[in-house]
Amino acid sequence: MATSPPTPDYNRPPVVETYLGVQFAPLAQFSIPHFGLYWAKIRDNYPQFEVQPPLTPAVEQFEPRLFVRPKLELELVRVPELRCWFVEKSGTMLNQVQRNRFVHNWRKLKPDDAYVHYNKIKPSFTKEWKTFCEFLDEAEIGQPEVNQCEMMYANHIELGQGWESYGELNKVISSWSGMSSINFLPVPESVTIGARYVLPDKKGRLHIEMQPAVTQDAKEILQLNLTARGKPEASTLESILEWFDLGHEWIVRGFTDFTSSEMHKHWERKI
Amino acid sequence: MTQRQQFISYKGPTMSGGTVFVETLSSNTFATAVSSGSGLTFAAPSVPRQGGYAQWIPVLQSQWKITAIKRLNKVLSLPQNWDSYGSCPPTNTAANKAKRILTDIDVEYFLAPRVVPLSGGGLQLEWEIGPRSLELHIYEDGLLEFSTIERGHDPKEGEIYVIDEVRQLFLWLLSPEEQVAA
Repeated sequence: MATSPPTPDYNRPPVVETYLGVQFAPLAQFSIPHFGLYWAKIRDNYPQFEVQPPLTPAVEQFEPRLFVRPKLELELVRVPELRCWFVEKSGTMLNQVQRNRFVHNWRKLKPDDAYVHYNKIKPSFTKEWKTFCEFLDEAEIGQPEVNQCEMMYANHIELGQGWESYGELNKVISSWSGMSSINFLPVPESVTIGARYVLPDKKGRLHIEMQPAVTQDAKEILQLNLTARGKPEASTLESILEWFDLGHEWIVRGFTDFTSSEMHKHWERKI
Repeated sequence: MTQRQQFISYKGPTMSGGTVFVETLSSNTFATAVSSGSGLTFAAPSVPRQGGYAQWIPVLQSQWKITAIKRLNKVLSLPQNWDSYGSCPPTNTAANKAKRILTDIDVEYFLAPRVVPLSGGGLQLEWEIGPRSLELHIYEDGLLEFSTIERGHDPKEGEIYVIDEVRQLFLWLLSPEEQVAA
């Protein structure tokens, strides 16, 4: 049986944040007091919280359907939906909880913080997800029926680090040639790219989004986000982790395929 | 202007006789409240969006802020004696204040300002919409002042202590003349 080549690896990848998350059918019994009760369980390690607006459901669809123009819908509810952030004491890890989602994030806090590899994030997610499920059990809320897994890698590619303008985007993005047919258009003021790819056996999709952005400390960057999303075989931890392994492979190989070999040298590709 | 009116980007009637207010906070977040005869009821946002968005690290994607930062970075790279009268480029303190204004201000859709260096190491951010103009003067020591000019009215000036006051000035720039001024 042919083995795949090892997944690419970099000494200085431009990744600034990753997350692993699951979406599940809304837990009917989960209400506002349960945020506090869950926090009590993890508070020693996650001492801070913030309240955020909820994430809307996102499900990868593969069945043909009529195109529906996106519109703003209002749903009147008696109790507002919430999402709570629980921030780990180092400030680099985060658990996000809402009635139908659990997400575990890592972020780079300082520029010289080392990137936390998948082989560390995955057990970290596993531990936090198990704790959450344990809490749900203790509170007699029931176990989540996971319908989607989602993982994301956010990369900040700083202007001046290998590229100087959108006229040099071909130095960053391998599928952007920068060529023209009649040499009419000037250098673009900005470029936004969105692409999506179907995972094998329709296990989900890989979304690649690239757009200009500015960081909170006013640096001009290309924000390159790779998000894999799809349905695991089952709601079990084993199936969820198996899906994450597939998502991780597609994100890392997809990132390597999408970006140029010039930039790979800049990021010190070692595998 | 009431606190609620400051945040309205849409206001309209509901079929049951109430009023719906919609505020666009950012490109993927809405806050909505519906008022009816019995008081406020929260309305949950329900706008589907593809792509991952459980992100933690915020970045600024609004075009006016990106353009503003580019213009600011150009001005910050001016050399010593840029005005031929011996002036230094903008100080780090002035630069950081300008960056803070542009990154912290909670307004997604707006015009990018002109960014102008001041002799002595300060900066000026300038906006003009119709008969109104707004200038933010950032001095070399970080002191922040504003001046507003409107055709047919006396100019106004003052010091700004809190970045949120800048948002009020933006609202003034955009508002029809009969609504609350800065």
